[in-house]
Amino acid sequence: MKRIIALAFATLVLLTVGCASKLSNFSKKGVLQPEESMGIVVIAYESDTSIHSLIFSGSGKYKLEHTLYDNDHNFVVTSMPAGTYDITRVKIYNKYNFISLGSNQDENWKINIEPNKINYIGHFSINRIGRGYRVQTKNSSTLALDFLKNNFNELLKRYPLVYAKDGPEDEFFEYVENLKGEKNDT
Amino acid sequence: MILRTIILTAILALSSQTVNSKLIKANEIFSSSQFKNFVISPNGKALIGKSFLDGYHQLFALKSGEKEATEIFKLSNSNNMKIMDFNWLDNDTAYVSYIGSFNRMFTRFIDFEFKENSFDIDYFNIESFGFVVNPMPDIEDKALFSKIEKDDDKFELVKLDLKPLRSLRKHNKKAHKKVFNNFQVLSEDLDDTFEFYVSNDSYSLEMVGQYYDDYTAYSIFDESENEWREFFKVSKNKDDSTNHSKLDVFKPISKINAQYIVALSNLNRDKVAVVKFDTKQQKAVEVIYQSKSYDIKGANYNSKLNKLTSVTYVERGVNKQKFLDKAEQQLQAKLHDKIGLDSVFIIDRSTDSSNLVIFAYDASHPGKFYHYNEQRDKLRFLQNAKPDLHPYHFVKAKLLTAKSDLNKTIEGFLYLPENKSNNPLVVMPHGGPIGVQDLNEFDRGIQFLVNRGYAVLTMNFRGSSGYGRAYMSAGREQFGKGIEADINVLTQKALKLPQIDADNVCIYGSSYGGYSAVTSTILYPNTYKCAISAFGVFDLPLLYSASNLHHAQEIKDAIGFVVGDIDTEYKKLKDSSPLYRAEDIKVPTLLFAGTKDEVAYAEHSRRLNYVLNQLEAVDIEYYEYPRAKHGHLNWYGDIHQYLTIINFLNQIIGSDKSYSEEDKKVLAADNYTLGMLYYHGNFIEKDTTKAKNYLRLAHSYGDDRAAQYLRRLGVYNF
Repeated sequence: MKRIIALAFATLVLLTVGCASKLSNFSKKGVLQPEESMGIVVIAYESDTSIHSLIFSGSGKYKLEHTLYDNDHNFVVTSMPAGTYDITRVKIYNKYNFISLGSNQDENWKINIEPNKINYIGHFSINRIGRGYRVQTKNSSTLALDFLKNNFNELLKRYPLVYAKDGPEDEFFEYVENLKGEKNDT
Repeated sequence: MILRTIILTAILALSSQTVNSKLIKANEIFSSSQFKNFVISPNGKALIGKSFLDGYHQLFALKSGEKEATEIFKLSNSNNMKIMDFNWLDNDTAYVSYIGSFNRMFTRFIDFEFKENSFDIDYFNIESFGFVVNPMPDIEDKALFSKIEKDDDKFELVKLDLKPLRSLRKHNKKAHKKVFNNFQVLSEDLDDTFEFYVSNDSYSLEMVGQYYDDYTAYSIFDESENEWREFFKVSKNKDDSTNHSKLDVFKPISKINAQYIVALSNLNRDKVAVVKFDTKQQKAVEVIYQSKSYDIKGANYNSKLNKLTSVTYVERGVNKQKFLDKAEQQLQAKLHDKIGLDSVFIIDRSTDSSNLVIFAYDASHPGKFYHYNEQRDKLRFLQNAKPDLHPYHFVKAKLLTAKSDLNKTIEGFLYLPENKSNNPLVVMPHGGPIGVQDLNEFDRGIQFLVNRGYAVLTMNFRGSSGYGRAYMSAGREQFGKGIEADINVLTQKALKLPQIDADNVCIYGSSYGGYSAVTSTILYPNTYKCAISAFGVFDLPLLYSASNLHHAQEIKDAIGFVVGDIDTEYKKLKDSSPLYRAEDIKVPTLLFAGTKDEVAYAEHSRRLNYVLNQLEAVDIEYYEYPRAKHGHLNWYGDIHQYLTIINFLNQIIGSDKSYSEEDKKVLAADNYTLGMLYYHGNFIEKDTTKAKNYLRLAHSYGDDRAAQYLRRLGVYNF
């Protein structure tokens, strides 16, 4: 297949950022009962560069800090008010260094959080390339599904899992869910 | 400088050892070529060769006709260090451009002092990311050098003068920079240059390639107007008239005069041909050379004689270099007869063409280098590309053709284990699918499968390159359709041959070939007993949603050009995805993926593995290589993949085999290698159960090395 190369070299800017509400994570032991207007959010980090936090901007501004993922895995499970957000910044190394993201015609950082659903955003990935960074969200739905099955199975039984990244449709979760149904029927 | 002497004959002696075993060890065939290239000095009196031996990239020099070579440059294989380019500048100076430590690029100039029976060398380095564009062989100590500086967005063409550089203290970067600033820059007035065409007479800059943000262009220097004129443009903007099809080919070869150039082009025609292109009218005005059936891949034009001297193309899967001069044709025919391999290329020559460097190869041989002296009519063998493989026997493919439903001839290549009938068959569609071509040339994977008793069928289905634009275009949006129909037509023809066991057929491919393998078992369920995919795609809509970077219009267009548009063809894409037809997969399936693959993201294979496991209808094996991208970066990945494939095939379509004692030694070594890959877990996930199993097997075949690792794993009953 013709190799498709899309290098997004983002510039590292030294600036501070305005206030954002901090998101908190869910313990796998606790029973998660988000409010009606909230969506459960699942995101994973996959990076060769230390990530401090991600900033989501939409109807509100939210900050997802690296302290939320534990040593066992690279996933964070949290909740956010339903709505459309852009991932606008990733802070790397510390709270002062950030890479600007945001949606334009070359990059789509939009996510759609649906209420009363588990919204998998993707695997947020940063890799150093030369003097720049390649930043992307990879769709690794199977890894998310495995993670939730192993760690939040109860949650998975109560809420439908959807791919929350804006963009071309991805029916994988729905397909897997239907397969399960067909298997149970037989 | 202390010179190390390499005795070429010692290496030759090694290569003349015989290996009695019929089988070849995986780690012998899946290894790098040891000898990569040779170049000859302008006067034909000395040669430089490039090798990769014992973990070092090396250059060595020898006088023409002598057997002893001397190492003149050596670079460790660690930290991505490698030789990028090397050649002679004149009769007593050579250069080598290389990536050194910390990804810094250097060019080393090596001065030779030739004595009666030997030579001494001295050298100096410059640190610069660049390449020699023209060695200016007629002018002592001068060369044209293309270089790019950090934070710059254009290559500059600089006229190097070696004299002031040579007199500088070695490795003094600051002083080098000062001297560099005094050199003439031939491309100074041009924007965003990346490619240079230089006159071989006057060494003046006559054409350039330029890369702008929204288009690329070629420009020519018009002496009569004393100005540069843009004559070919490829816009990235879809609405622009110069936004060419992705299937268009246009590559300047040489300038004829201020108005005309020679180019390789398929603009307004089906096959790529050598054309005379009018830069003012911006169109081809004459076809200089074309083939009725094949695209021309390369051409040499002698601007001094004002004539085309040679072309290259692929005919029935074999790379051909065709000379247009009768005397050259006769010489090539003579060399061909003497060497006896299908592809015989003259890869370098002295200024007067009396001394030639030849590289010859074909499917049964990874390649040989020769030096030919015309005056003495003497052809002297220099080296095998892979001396370690010299003792083994490899096979050439038999050409197999069939007509497709488009009434086009599909060329296929059938590799058969020797002297056997009723061989199990592995059908191997290539990747791409657009713009890739299978050749009847030495291929490690194919020869390994044949060595283990499997016939292999490869083919150039619609979409493949080399057969013209229409054939390539016919493969667009044919995932799970016409392409698989072409593969099937040829496969069915092969199954009728007595050498093939039609009841024991599997299909294996990489990238698109992986998609095709799994899809073909759905479309033609009675033909295949198993499917194997490496780095494959199985969910076509996922091509668009695998990363947010794929949402960019340019990338969506590139994917859509080959697969189909996601916005208008979503259902078709989904219906053509084996993932969403997993219930129709009825055969054992083996999948490989690379965690770092950003072409066919591992998610494709993970999904298919997940779903097939859920369905529990067929046996599924899945291996994910943590370091691999769209292919392996290290031979150990290939070794694991191919040994796993052989084990898988042996279980499903393999026939009972009896092994000689020598064969058992090979199997012992293979199983030991597999066991150690699982033991260490560097290239595949650590798995002590598998490590124990393979090490036990290795020990049972007589490999004593396995014993100590079995004990370390707590196994004593072996």
